[in-house]
Amino acid sequence: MTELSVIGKNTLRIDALDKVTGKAKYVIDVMLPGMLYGKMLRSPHPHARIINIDTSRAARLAGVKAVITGRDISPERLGFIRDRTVLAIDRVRFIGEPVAAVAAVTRELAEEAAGLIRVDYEPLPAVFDPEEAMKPNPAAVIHPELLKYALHPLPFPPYRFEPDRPNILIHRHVEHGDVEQGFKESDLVLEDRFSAAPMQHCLMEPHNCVAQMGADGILTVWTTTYWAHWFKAEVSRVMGLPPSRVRVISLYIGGNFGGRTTPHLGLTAALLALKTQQPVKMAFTREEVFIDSASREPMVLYIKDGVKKDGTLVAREMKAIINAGAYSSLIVQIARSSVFATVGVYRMPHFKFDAYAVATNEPPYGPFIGFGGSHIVWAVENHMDMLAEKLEMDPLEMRRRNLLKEADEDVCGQINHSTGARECLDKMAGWIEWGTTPPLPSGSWKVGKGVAQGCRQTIAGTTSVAAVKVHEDGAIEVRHSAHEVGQGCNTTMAQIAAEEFGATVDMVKVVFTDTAITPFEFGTVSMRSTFNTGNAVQLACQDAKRQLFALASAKLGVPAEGLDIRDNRIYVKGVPERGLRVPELFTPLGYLVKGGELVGNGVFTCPISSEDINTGQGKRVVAYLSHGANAAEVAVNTETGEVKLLRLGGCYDMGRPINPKACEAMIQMGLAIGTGTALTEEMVVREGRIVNPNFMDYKAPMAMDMPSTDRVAYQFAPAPHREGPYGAKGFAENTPVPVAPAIGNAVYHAIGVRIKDLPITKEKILAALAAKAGRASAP
Amino acid sequence: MKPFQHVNASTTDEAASLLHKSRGKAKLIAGGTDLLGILTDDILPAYPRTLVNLKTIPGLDSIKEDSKGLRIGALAKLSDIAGHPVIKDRYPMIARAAGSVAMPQVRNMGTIGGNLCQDNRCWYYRYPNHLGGRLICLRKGGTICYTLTRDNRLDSIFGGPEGCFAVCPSDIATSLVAMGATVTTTRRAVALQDFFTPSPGTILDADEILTEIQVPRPREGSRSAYLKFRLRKSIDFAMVNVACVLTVEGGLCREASIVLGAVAPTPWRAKGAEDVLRGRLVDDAAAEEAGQIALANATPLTMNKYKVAIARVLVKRAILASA
Repeated sequence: MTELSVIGKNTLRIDALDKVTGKAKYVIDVMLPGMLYGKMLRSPHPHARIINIDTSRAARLAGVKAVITGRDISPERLGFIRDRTVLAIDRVRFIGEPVAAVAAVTRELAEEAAGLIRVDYEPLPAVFDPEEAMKPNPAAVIHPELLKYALHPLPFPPYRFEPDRPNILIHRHVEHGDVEQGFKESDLVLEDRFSAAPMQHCLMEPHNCVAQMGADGILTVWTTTYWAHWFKAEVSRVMGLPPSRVRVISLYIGGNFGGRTTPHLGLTAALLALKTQQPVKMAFTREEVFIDSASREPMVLYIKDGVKKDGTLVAREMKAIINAGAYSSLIVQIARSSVFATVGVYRMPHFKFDAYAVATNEPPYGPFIGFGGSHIVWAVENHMDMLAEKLEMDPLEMRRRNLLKEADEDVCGQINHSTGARECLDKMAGWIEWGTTPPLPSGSWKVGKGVAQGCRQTIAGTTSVAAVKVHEDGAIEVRHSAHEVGQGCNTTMAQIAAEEFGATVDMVKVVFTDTAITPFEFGTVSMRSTFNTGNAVQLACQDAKRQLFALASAKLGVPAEGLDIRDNRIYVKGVPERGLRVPELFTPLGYLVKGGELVGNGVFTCPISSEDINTGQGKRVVAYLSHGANAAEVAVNTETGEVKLLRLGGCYDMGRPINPKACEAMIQMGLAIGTGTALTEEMVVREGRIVNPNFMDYKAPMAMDMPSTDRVAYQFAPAPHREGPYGAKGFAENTPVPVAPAIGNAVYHAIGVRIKDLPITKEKILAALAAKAGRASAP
Repeated sequence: MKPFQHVNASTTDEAASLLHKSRGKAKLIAGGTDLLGILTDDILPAYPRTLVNLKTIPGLDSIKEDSKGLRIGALAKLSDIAGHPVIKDRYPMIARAAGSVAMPQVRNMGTIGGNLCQDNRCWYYRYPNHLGGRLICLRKGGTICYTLTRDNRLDSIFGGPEGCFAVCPSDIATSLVAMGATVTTTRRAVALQDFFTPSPGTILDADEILTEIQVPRPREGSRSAYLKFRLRKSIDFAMVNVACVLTVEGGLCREASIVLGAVAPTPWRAKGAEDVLRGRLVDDAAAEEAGQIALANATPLTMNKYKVAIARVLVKRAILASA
């Protein structure tokens, strides 16, 4: 590859100064004249029929401009399985489900008015445990109409309902070979059960929006979504407005991590704005974020592995039971995607996988960074260590023996490409000094090391579109609709444009995520922006350059293909002194005599193949995989159950790092989320109620809980992807994936007990140690 | 939050009289770090019409030492206590306990009086009203204690005499009780350990105000230790805390004062553990035994046995650290 001047170089984030000085505008900063404040009233019941809603007292309160309930709104539904109305209409399915909303002149009045709405409910039996809910005759059927619901028309997973088990929203099945035969051929067969608690995204900016019906008949919604064009289509459909009359703007967003799935919030504000003809602002409180933003789903995993004496995996059978909560959100995609976290990593001649997303009366769960893969890897990577122990093998050797390599075919039938897995593992093994004995245990503190491997796929078949305008002074304007959620995508896009134009990043202006201005984008999901949006930006740059070179070619009398561009100057390849400055192509008034404006367009659609609904087999069912490995060293106190994280490192394959500093920041993020997943974070849900819905009682790790900077590692093992812009691919969603099992394995190596249910709390460690001591002392 | 009147009091008498006249419709505000959360989440059926501001009362935040000991005004800020040179020097356990509360922002606002009078942290008691309605638990006049059947991992391991199993969350209380502190209110002077009741938390009448905390001078040769066990290294309330004051002469323990916090509705004095230490050589075995005795009568709920184990270890560590 030719020498690159911007790609791969540490680049100061183009939004850094605006953000640290407070100038950057977020949705929460949007204030409009005459703006009202909206507030939702939420259900006290996990499952109930709505008998009557009396809004008269609320409507009479001075300062209240509108009150709406399920009866006032369109019955159009939201979700991949369209199962949720904007407000509940005749039935509530979780504690906290919105049943009504008000708009008033102040936030306080809106809150007061919401409290004056009287709702009569008839409580219904509820079901909370997904393993109970998925039985043929559950205590409650959450969606009696499930089979009649429409499905979203977007690239859809192979789909199975289970009509005999009415709470199963989707059953995903993948099969390769014959696992029963595989277990027969194995020297050792081991099986176990693992589980993981629900978690919060811990977004800095709670979900919020402003909706305004303009005098021009255009409805504008500023909102913290991660897919503006998708949301625009939902608004258009639900509100019955033509797409040209809906505009969605997202500005900067304070965090994503998969947590921006709240279309009902923006739609509620839009409905109130339509009714009042005034702008309406709505913002979730932190507590509302906990209860109504589709956070990480709890999961139960059954795993059964068969191996040869030498550690070769022969067969793997897994069952994943995903608690979807009351509404499906994106859970069907999670049920589909989670499997690749093991499919993409190991060679398994015989493989069978069943995932069930099950509706319950818990709050809706949804996408969370890792997208179900973290759960799968939690089970798999614990189990790999357990198998290795039984075989008296080094757990790293066990993994190395089974890792897929470049050009191998996986159990879904895809040919592996861009596979940094082995290098990630080897680098982490080196960093943690695998094989050396940790310092001798002192007193009640025991020390252990652990490693884990993991991978995460990116959705295939999606499209990104970008435009690049060259201004009369030569400045390059990139228009894209990926969301700048703090990950740095604007800087990445600016780097790609700068590289293409031989320019510096400060010559690039980025215009982002306003559906009236910026082109179509599938969404800032599935760690797809660098690869998909990046490709679209690169193609748009190339289109713009073609046009520039065509214009310059006429002036210079040289064929366009003989031209190149650097430092705002088009020159003849091989004769750099011959050329012209870009502004010379424009008239003094700033337009082009031919064409008027110089805009390049780029469309990128990631190839996808068909997928067999019965077996999950297909030639290209994911866009690409990002691999990674983590290593952890812990000290565990056997008297108190405390776990001290002594060292934690991650090494990942991002194809090619476009902005290495930004990649390091992503790894920091992943290690922190993974640490919380492993040790402290848990939304406590009891009888459908989240009882710790705040940052005091929900325990996300703080800076002081992470190892100091000299005890962490942020490493890269890039394996370039032939389709990625400059070889790059997404990797951020994989960063937390192997962290929890690395820590779990380290805990096991320290104290000889394995906690199979996340998080690994002090209570669980003490109970497991007590049980082990009991076993040891038993006759 | 709902609208309320905010009245600046200039004397404690004036504040008490405002409370009296309000017939339960007024609340005191000092640092506000606990109260504002309660109001924002609207967890109590009664919402105050008036907040009586104590911060405008001159002198209520003083920290003085005389021949008898330390006198801390109820309005003294936790950060001032944690950094006070006399307290750090002669009452180090109090400085440590004050410095262990929450985070710097809260310590800069929160007062010692507020820390002693704060409401409990039970998840069900604190469930916010706007998420489908507050929970009217036993403590609020309802008929159910939710923690008993649902999730009691953080609750009392020494029972709940009034049917409520929420623990006293104060870090400072544990250390002050161990030091033999007394308190003065607008109405009386009592030993701090008698100031706390299982429910509603303190003996304060509706129109009574805590004004001062007195801490006797530590005995000559006494040493103390305060240990706080929490999930994260900052912010968190204690899962268990232990304050221990020992006077050791000629290798033998003369006096012992051991108090546990966050394990019972009020600070929990480990009398049995104190007795077993007196007259003994303070070594590993004695500390271990004291820890066992301190927790021997524990009656953990379904989910909080781990607190017993942690408390036992903490008592042992605190004894060894103050020997």
